[in-house]
Amino acid sequence: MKTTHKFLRRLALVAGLLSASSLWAGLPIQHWTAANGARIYLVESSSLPMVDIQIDFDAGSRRDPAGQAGLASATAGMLSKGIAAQGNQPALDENALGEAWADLGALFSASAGSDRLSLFLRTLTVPDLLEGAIRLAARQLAQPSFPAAIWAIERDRTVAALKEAYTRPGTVAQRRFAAAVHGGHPYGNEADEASLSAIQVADMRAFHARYLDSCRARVSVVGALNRAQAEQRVLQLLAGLPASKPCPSLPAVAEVPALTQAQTVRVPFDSAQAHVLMGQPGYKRNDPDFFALTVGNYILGGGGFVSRLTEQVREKRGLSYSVYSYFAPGLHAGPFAVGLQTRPDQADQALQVAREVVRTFVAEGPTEAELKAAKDNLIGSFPLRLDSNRKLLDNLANMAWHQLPLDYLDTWTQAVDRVTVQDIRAAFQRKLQPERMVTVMVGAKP
Amino acid sequence: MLSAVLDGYNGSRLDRALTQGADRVADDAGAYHDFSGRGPQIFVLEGVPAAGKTPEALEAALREQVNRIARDGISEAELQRVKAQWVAQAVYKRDSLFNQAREIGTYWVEGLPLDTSDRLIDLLRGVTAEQVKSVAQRYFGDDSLTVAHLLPQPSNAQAPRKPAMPLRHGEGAR
Repeated sequence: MKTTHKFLRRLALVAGLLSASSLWAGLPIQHWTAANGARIYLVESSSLPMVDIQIDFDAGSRRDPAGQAGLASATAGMLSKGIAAQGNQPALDENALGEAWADLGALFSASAGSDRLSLFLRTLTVPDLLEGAIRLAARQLAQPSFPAAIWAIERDRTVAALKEAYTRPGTVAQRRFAAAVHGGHPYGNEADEASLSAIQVADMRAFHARYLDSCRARVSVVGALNRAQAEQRVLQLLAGLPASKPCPSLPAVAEVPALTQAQTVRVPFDSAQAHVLMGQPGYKRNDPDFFALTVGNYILGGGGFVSRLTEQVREKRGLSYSVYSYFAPGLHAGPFAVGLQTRPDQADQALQVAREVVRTFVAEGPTEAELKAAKDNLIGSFPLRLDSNRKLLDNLANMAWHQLPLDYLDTWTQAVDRVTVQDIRAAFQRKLQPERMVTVMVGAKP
Repeated sequence: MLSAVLDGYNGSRLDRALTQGADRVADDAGAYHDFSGRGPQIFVLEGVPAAGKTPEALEAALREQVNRIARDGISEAELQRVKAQWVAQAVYKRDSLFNQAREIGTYWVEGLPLDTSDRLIDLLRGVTAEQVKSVAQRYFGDDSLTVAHLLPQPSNAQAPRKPAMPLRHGEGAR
């Protein structure tokens, strides 16, 4: 295990040096706002005859109406289940659509996260294939047919998949944790049989009509298109959607409430391993503590084998194969979580150790040596965050969504390097309250 | 090619025949084939029965899809569709440096030439509908068949567990 780890680190270092040479000069990110209001972010990359495009709308699951958790995801999923006829263009059912995409050799998908409803298109830039892919994606975006019979089947299949997921202790733990941490905020609402049965195709049509407006689109493009070509294709993609002027603002979504007291949820489950999650609301992505928290969490539980949690829970005591911590910041304070799996009769002991690690880290912060090692890793591996068009697209879409400065990626390593031990301690003390966390234990046997 | 015609894209044969419509036999169905390796590779057909359908009915439906191709072959449109996807995939996969390294390393370990990727595309371009029909006829006999059913177990420690169904390996009867 150790040898493999070292080998991987060395491999990462070599790969980093190779790609660093081409990236160090700074990323040429172009950004402008189109006439329809869409904010476009482009990195031209002509080494392969392909382009990746992501379109994000403020239509993630945080916009699910009360009692209809899953509407954003269902709407996204149903975009691929058929498009309506328009003018001389025939209707296409789900199978005809699937065949059309396969014939083009292109990939199109739609999904909803907590904040965003995202559409992703990957296509070759060979002219007729590109033209065909853009036209088809534009129709799919603007003229979904939302067939009720297909939704009835999709709903049944989703419910069946949920029932299957509930047989896994990890799923049960995650869902109970999300609900307990977010205290009624949409970030903690997960679709279930009742909420899915409350969703009709008319709700999807209304959701689509309300939230998919070009004026709110954030479009990220990476590939073999120049600025003029990118603009033309993006306008073509969005042509069938409304482009409201002025752009109507959407209602604000309440913030995640802070926890007022500690809470422990124990769920009996006959599993070989107990699943333990502990945490609380974390922070919003635009928080000025972002870099201190990112570096700090690497030391606490994000850095795999070198983290404090791994050192104490796994290396010193052999209680767990894997133990980790993460923050998931979004437009709202997404969760901070510590997670581990362990033998059912060791769950309480492992939890006590993890709690003590978090408490000590929040109280004292990292050591200078830990900070240096974390910076070395994060800065040294930074090029690996950008070493493909797909990863660049993810980063670009993140910048577009959170309106980060255009030099965000160019200054990322400097921002990491500036973080001090005091910054991390202060940031963790501002964000985490170890005495008021939620703990979920599934399958633990005292 | 056979696995791609069965399950390579939305609306492919397994989708249409097994997972659509009110009377569908499966909630999910798939086919895949491990492309290369140091030993013999397996071709897998799998699925999750829909409510009210038995694993046996699903198994029969999966086998019928292979039998249909063995009997009737595939269309030229299906053949060209799968080839179009492969040609595009050959470009897309070059987007990842890591995957390129892994691919070359895998071929090396398997004793294949390092330009196997390019050679494969050329070979795949040459596959005919008749060859797909032929492999569907030749490789799916009961003598080399293994069938496994995973039955749901209660998550509650108090509920009685169903006995696990023994794996039937190459019995010929299935």
